[in-house]
Amino acid sequence: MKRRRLPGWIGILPFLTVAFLFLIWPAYAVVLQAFQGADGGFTLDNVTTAAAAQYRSAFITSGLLSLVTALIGGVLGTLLTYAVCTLQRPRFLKSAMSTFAGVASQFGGVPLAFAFVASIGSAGLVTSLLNKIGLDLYGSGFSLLSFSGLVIVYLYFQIPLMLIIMTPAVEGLRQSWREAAEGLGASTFQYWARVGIPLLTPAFIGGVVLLFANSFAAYATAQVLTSGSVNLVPIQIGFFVQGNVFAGQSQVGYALALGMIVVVSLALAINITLQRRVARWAS
Amino acid sequence: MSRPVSADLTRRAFLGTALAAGAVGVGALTLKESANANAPMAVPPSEPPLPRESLPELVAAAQREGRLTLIAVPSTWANYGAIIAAFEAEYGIPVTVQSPNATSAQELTALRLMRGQQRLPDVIEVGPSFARQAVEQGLVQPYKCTAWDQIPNDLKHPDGLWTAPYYGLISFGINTTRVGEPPKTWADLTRPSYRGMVATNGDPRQATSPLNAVWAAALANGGSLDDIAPGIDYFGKLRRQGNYIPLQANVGNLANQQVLIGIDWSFNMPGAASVLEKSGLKLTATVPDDGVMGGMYCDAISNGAPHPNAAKLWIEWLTSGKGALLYLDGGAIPALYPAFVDQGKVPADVQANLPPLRELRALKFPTMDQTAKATAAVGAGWNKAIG
Amino acid sequence: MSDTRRRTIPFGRWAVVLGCVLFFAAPLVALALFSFTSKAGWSTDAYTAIAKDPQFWKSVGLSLTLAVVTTALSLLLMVPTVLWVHMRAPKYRSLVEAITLLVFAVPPITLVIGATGLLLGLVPALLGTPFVLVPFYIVLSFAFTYRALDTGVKALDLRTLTDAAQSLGAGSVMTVTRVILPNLRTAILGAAFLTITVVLGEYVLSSLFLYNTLPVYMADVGTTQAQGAAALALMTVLFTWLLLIGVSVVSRRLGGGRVTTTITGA
Repeated sequence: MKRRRLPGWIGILPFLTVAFLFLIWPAYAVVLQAFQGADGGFTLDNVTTAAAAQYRSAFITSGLLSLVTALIGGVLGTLLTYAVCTLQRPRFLKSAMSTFAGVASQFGGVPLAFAFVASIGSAGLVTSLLNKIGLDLYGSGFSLLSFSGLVIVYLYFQIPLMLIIMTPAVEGLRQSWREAAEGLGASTFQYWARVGIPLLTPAFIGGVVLLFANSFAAYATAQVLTSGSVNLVPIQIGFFVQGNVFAGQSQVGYALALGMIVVVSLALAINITLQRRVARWAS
Repeated sequence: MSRPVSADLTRRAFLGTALAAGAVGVGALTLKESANANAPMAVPPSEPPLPRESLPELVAAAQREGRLTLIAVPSTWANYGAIIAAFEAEYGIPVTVQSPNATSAQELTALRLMRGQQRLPDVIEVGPSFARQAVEQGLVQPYKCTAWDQIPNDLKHPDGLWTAPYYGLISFGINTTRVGEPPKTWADLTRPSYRGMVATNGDPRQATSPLNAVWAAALANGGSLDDIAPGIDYFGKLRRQGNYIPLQANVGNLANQQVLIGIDWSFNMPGAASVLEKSGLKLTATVPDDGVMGGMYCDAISNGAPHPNAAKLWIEWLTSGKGALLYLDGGAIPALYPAFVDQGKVPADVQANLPPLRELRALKFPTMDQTAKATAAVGAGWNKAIG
Repeated sequence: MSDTRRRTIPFGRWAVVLGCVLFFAAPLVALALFSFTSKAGWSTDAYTAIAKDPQFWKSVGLSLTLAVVTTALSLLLMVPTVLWVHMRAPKYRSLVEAITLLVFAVPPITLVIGATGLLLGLVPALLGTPFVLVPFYIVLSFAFTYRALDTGVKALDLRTLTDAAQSLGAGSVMTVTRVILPNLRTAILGAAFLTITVVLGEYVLSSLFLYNTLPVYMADVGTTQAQGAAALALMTVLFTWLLLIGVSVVSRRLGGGRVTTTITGA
């Protein structure tokens, strides 16, 4: 039944074309422009400028913010996924949560910032409620417009994203395996240590890395909320590429973007290596 | 797979090279195409100022074009809402404003992106350093309006490639319904009673209003147009005190009273005041006299504008037409302000709200180099001071 | 599949769910309450002001149009790609997946600069219409559409399905359209919704290209009227959520369940 088959890569050509034109080429153009001087020639000036203290500190802050929200979001998101997928009642819980997660994972920018200002801003609803029961949120030094405030706000879309990522993995943990393990005399702890966690780990790692990348690239939310007071890389890029002050220096912005691409690509690469390790360990 | 391995490898190698060659080819072609598309357009030569007698001709030509496209002009900024409405009523030319909150960088991007299209904005209004960029990249064309010779040299480009029809002064916008004793100077602002009240309209690395606020604070604290460092230190001190909050002092935040003392251009104050009035709040604007900073915005006609005569008429409207006087209602100072005062066109109460004429005449605007130095200093030092 | 041993209430899991529900609901409730405030106490002023603004309707129309076009084209591109990758070219799976993840590495703000040079050279006319955003939106939603479709296809037993269909005499095309696609209904709907939410929430690219989509409109409103922006934010979230719930209900009615079990008897 050997028919003349088309080579494998033909089918993915449309996908590759779109990806090339609108993702790979622009990313490449960014890299090119990062090394381009004002006159068009090759230069390392932009990259050296981008290594200045204020930008290094921006990379550290962005990295820290992304790491924290990825880890907290990853853990909480996984716990939520497990809870939502295994709880039998109410019946509508799972579909309500998954559809909400779909919406919330894209919630960002102005709407998200406003929602949090309205709830835990200095004149927010939750802040006033807490005041009524004697907890002075802002008196203790907390501020929404700070690093810790941003962590809380970012979690609003990080946790749902983790839910979306982990749901297939958690559903894959067949109930029958749990019953089989218990039938063999395993305790809850043993089940998780030997079966559950190893099976969930690849998806978990992938999810955390994705959350890291997602948080690193987030621009609109931080811009609206802190308008620059928290030093993040996308905001710095914004100053150069779409601001009102730094004129004619967009190349420095591209050098910063190059830095971002490097950081996130590293994270994605770590993900792949970790996945391979875990696959070997789990089998 | 029943084929021998070596044939498979050769086939893959061949396909791989073909794909790579194709990619390089496409890449080279697109680079060439985009280089052509991005090549700067030729700029028309500069002409002498339009004589006043030719104005009716210009009006007719503009009306034949039938439309004017502007960009990045919010209606509450310098009373542009009224200026545009009056223009439409006077000449019957409808005005479209694209992206009212676009930044200067976005305006220049728009000029590049929309080249050769009907959507191309006819007139842009950008900060001076962006105007310089626009000139260098051939994005704008020259026009010298009828009042050209009367406009101070500071407020125009020598070859007419841009004109600054107005300028503003850094001022405090104070919610006097909530703030009992409004501050009058930069020194006042450090009083502990203003804790949690003070904000600039954005980050000084992002927008010119906060940049000039820092500069004005520098002038009040021993700095100069060449030295913005005292201003950065001043705001650092204000932040540590807790007086300065990192919220944007835009109309929305002033209206919901998250910001009680907003530092912004004088021409943003009347618009904010009318919005606050609707909620029963009063906004009072003061120019702090220990550090006075003036800032201008440059208007230029885009190179290849779809409606060039309407654009020229718009510049006329803003410099010597009724539009120029409407700037005063918006807290902006028109370029021909001294001439208007001499001609008796400015009511006394309006004059009283502004610094005296001789001070305004003595006002110095920063040069491009001074601006570059200041922005570099702020870029390097702001985060440490505020964060 | 009930757990006969445990009739106790799963406190731990309920605590997690309730905690998260509180966390997600609080900002929305605060938004709702804030949007109804004004100097005179309760009022729907913010909502009526928006409804009266012609620009609001234009932005909604633009965003919805872009969402529909993007979703249609995205599915048209990705469904065949995912199917092909699973059926004919499994060795390219990791390449395709890696590319879909690449989106997270490049900040959208810089994506535009690289692309505009190219677009100006190739298709300048496209730049004049809002549809220039469509291919970028498709790329932005790559990760989500690929993952949703990939999960859906993996859940099907493709080999068995295709063999069964072919043994019944169906050709390739009929196999795909009559057998595989109907089973992918849930996954396709999921991918479609995620794409819609991406488009309705996308701000950076739209503002860079200077098109007044709904998020850009919302940001503009936010600089002058906080209540209006709050009202808009709430409406967008509720509308998108209801849309997703509605079609998830519809898909269940249409029976997007495990059809593989019926065919294989397993």
